Amino acid sequence: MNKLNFNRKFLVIPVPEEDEFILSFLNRIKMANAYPSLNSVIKTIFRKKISIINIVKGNFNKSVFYEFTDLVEDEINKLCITDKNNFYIVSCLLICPYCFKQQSYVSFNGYRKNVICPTHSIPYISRCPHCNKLLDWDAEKIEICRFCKTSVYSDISDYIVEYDEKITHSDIFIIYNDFLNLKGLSPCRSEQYNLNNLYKGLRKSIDFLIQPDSFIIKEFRGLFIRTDIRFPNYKTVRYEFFLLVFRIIGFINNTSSVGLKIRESLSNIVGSELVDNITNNYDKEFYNFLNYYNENFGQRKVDLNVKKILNTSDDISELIINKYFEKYNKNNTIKLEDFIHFCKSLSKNISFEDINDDFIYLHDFLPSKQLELLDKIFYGPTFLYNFNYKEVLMGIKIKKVDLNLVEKNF
Amino acid sequence: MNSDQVILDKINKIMQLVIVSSEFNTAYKGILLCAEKNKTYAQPFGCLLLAKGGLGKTTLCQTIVKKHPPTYRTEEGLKKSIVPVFYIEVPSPATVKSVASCMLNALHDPAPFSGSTAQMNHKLVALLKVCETRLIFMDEFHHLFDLQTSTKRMNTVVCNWIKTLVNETGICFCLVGLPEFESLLKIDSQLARRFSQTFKLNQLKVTKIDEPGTLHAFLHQISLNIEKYLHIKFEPSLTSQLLALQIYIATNGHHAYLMLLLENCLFQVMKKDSYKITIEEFIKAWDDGITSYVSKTKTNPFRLDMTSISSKIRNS
Repeated sequence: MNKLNFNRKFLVIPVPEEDEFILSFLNRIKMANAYPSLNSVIKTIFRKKISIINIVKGNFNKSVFYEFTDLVEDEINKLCITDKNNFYIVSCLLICPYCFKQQSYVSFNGYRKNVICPTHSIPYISRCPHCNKLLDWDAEKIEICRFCKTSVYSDISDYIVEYDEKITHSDIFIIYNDFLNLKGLSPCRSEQYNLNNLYKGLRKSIDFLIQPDSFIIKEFRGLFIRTDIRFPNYKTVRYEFFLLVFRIIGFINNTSSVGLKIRESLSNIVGSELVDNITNNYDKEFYNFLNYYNENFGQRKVDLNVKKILNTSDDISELIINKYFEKYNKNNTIKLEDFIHFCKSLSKNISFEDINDDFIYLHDFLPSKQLELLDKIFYGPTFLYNFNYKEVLMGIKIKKVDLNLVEKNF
Repeated sequence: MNSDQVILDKINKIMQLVIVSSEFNTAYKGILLCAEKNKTYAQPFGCLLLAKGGLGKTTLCQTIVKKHPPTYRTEEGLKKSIVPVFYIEVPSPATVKSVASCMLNALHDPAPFSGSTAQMNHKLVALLKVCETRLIFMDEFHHLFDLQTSTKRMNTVVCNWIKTLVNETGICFCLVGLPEFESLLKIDSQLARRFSQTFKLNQLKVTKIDEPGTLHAFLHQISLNIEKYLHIKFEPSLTSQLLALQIYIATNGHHAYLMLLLENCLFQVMKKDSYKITIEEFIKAWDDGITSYVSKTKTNPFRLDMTSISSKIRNS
């Protein structure tokens, strides 16, 4: 009488929540039916191992899934994430600890890019806030870190991100992702940021949006120092300078009501005329910049409030400022060339190791990719650093037949 | 469908009908009461259902399982399968893993054979609770003993696991098997305590020559069923004194053999498109050797007269 049963449904099937993520649904099946792991549930359904990412994207046989869960195709699709522009398509956990405490399931809202929890104003986490280890679907309880055994929602009130009503999540993340250089603070996969660093970065972004002056000055200082160390070519510095101005104006255009504040700060540093010109004719100016930077921008007058850029309490810098800017006039303007010399003198304190991360060698790519990149570089605004004619000449080959012909002709 | 298949299907309907005796009733109610006690008391109440082969153990178990079918219930955001009763046969050889997977299979878990022993055990305990199982029949419980050796040792690993399972889940386990293994099981005092209540099913009996006893009631019900569903009559009547005693001698009161005998007779008459079972069909059925394993006589009892039958009963 011990016949093999033909029933394929799990004995306990959770009713999916309106905004539930598919892995959360499968995890609840796992918990309710006492299966050992998420993979064991997936293997039971599909009779083979199937990539969890494919489950997330909904790339699986929906009719088989139905047999085990009673969910029809539309219900299954609602659980999956397919919009890769607005969501992280990942299999790790991404939760608001407070939401999870209240509702005991994982919402796909945590997988939206560039948002913090709208209810609790806390960044979505994939790591334990206490020991920084990745949270695990297969933990006995996913809200309890399997390494430090602490619940993810205990003692995290310090990470609540407070911000002005005028500032939107989009503004904060534009600055966080594209302006502040937070590389090295967290793992390279942005959805797996450490909560502490993510909080600090978001806090910095909010500070920037409220009071952008000091951040913009720091960027300009960094730019002049960075570009002049290795490449004392004024054209490069000018190019980088304008690129930064365009970047910041790009932010101003993309951010909501706080853009005006950033614009004021930028105008204080590079002059309102330049900012107005670029803001009013952004596309045209940007097009010109990309096509003619080596000619026109070297001549373009820039009203730099250099004193403000270099405002520092460092005594030595003060001395250097005095030495190099004796010439600046009563209008507080200075030639860009003079400023670059100044930056060069500051650069002695900076090592190359600090900036190695910013570069990649062309030969690190596959040969096919190298050709593709060279093609793009030819038409694009990318600079080839460390370009060395000697090395290029060493690589040039001439056909012997051609050489004979050349010699005969001459 | 050929004509034989049609006939077999019709006979099968009769064979599926359960004829209830007072022993059957007692066991039925007693087992369910044990399950109820488990619900109420903290201490687990298990029971034994013992009978020789063919006396209706499995029929009784299946009747209880059918009376308590699985259902679905949705509560607290979970759609749960409720499996109040299920039946397994203890596999041979019995290991914790094989018994656990048998139970998971009977519960209708979609992956009953996957995972380690510990994972299976964890899953089983959790699912038994969530499926609100109250009663589990474990048939062929003699597979818990090592029958190869002359001493018939108990498989202590599986028995200890069953004890733990009983304690962890508080479910009523009913061990079903042959009477000769009762004493072996009760050597272990802990098992004896957990399976203190015993229900037995015995052969159909004739108390006196002129009083067919439980056999009479059984035959009476069968003849009613056959007449009602197949419109076939017995001549002489199935409950007539001589035929009843002849059947008793032929089957030794075993329900299963009695049913096999009748099945053979029914097939014979239905094949002939007849609606009357006579002594000839019984004679042929006996000659076919269906009941030879249990028969009390080596000569065909359906050819014997009342005197010979009475003498055989007295001598047996």
